Amino acid sequence: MDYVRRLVDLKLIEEAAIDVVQSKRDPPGFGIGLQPIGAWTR
Amino acid sequence: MSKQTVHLAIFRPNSRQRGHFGIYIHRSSSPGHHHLNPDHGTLINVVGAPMIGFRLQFKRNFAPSEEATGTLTIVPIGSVDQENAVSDDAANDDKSEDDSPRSKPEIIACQLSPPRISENFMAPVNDVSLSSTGIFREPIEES
Repeated sequence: MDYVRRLVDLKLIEEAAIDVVQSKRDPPGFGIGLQPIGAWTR
Repeated sequence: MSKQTVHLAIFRPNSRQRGHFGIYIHRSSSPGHHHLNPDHGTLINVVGAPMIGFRLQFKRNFAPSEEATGTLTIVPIGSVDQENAVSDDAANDDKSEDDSPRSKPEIIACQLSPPRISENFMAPVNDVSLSSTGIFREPIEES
């Protein structure tokens, strides 16, 4: 997000880019941590 | 002045994994590049892992169409003037990877620090901890 904000600040791309990127981010807990034992076989 | 499209590139090998974000600047039909594959461009991203830290990487002549089906999503987020974006080798379509900036967007990427080693890489990602989303990390805020 830092990078896109920087590109917007420097007027390389439009501000709307920030909203697009924000909308594509995963929720904080998504895909983090180990899978429970046996999770792959269920 | 001709423009080159800037895309958000989201890599997700499977639906249970967090997306890995990068910026893909499509070369399109840049003047002087007509002999090259118009589907190629430059991918700006960071590589590494939360437990070892990340480093910036520019992938030249990157082709989204060559990625495995369903693993890459690209979303246009804007466009930049050609003079700000030309970075791929003009001579050929050879793929390469480096960390030497050749264009304004790449110079800007070099000015940001890639995420360092995460102290707890299994913790939920928030605006303080670092994530596999690479250079899209949030700044660490002092409380």
